[in-house]
Amino acid sequence: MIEISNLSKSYGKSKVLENLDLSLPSGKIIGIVGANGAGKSTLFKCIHGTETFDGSITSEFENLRTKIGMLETNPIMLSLITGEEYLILHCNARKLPVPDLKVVNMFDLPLKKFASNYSTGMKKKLALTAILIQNNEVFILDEPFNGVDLQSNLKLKSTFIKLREEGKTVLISSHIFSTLTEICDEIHLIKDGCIKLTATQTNFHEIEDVLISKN
Amino acid sequence: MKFHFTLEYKRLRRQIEELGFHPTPVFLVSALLFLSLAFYVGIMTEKPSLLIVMAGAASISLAFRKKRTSFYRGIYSRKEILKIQSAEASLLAFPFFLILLSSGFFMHTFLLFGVVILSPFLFMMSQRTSTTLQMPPVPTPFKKYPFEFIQGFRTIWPLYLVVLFVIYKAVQVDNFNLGLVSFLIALISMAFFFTKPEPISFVTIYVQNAKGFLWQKMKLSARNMLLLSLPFIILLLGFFPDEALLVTMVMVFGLLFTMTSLLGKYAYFPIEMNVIQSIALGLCLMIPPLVIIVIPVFYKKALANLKPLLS
Repeated sequence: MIEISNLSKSYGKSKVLENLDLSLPSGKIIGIVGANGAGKSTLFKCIHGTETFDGSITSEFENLRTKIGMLETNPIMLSLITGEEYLILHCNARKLPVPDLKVVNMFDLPLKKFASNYSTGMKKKLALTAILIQNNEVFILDEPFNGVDLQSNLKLKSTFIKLREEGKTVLISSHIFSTLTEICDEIHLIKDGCIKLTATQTNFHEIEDVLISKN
Repeated sequence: MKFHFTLEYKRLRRQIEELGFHPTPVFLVSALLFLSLAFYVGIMTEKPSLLIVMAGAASISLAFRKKRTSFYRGIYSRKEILKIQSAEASLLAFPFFLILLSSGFFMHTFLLFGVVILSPFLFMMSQRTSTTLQMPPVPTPFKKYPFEFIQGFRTIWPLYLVVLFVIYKAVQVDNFNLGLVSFLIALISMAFFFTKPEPISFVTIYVQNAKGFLWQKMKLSARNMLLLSLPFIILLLGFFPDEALLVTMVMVFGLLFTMTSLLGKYAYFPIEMNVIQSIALGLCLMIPPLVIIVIPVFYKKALANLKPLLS
């Protein structure tokens, strides 16, 4: 369980998040929706610990950062590093043994090739594989379905459901509302820097109504 | 940590291989060059100790490249990144420590040591400040295009303030050469606006043919260069009117050198600056008349290279 309270973040004079409160229970898939620039990615970076903020983020883990795996919208790949080396680096960073990479390569990526030459979707799949083999407790996934082919999208959905069954916390942002309603236990709408509406499977349509009425 | 450094070493070898060289001879030649430099400094009567410290500090900056740091921030914790960057900064500064120590410059060694220790912390602080402050875009006088000048000016505008200040000082102490060299540095910096290729769509959006596109780019770049150079020219010509010929010559060279850089970019577009381009630009800097030979070569190549993209 992660508790976020009074989280505020500003860039210069523009306030992106303002006194945001949110609970992220274990064993749940939580969706985050909101307009472009609403603060979804900023919220994710704050939880991941790569962005400074005011307020507090507490959890049951002694060092939350070492339990979180974050998939960015456009994962950065350094040049001249192969997919295989990228995965080993992630294991090494957490002092974990390197698993059999043929087994964990769920998307059949060409691991011997340079990761920077991968397509957008392939980079995303590689970054996801990396955080999966780290055996994290919390997964923060920023637009995981974008730029990924249909077959992999189905694989992603089943992977996230499997993670929920294992008791992990999965936080997803996406603009594909139908995909979120299929797999999420709860969805939160971010607007004006805070959570404006929270819905569970019984009232997901309320969020859709708000989003439609806005347009 | 061990795997990190093994990987970085592998990347360095691959970078050298990509340039078409075998890493071992490159390492050997680099070591020899460094030893020769150390020996040369050793026999110099007036040792450039502060310059060595500055060169050491400049080499440390390699440990703080933005994209690389962003990549590692996703993998390592802040503490681990600090450790890695401290170790990398020490490794990069090591040869300079050796020169300083062997020349007996203990105070300067201590100064460089201070830079090595402080730089990872200062870098981390500067990154925090830059993401928190988010400065508004620096206004430029370059309107909409070409984007190279808008981008370039926003990246290195403080350099122009420094150049302006140095020229002002040159006027004060009546040192024309100092002013002229500063002006030349400003001009050369503009040529580097064209070293990185833009996304292909930035070219294909144009409705002109390759020839029209290149000429428009050159005309606009020349105009923008003159616009940006105007304050320096006014100061230099206003206070050193007798040196008008030299100022004009430097301006013309600056313009031609920038055209070389621009045409070089499109000669190999969309591939990033390669060895041939770098060598050609380097030679043009050392032997300025070479631009007259290099420009037509790059122009022809750029024309042929852009034809499939612009019809």
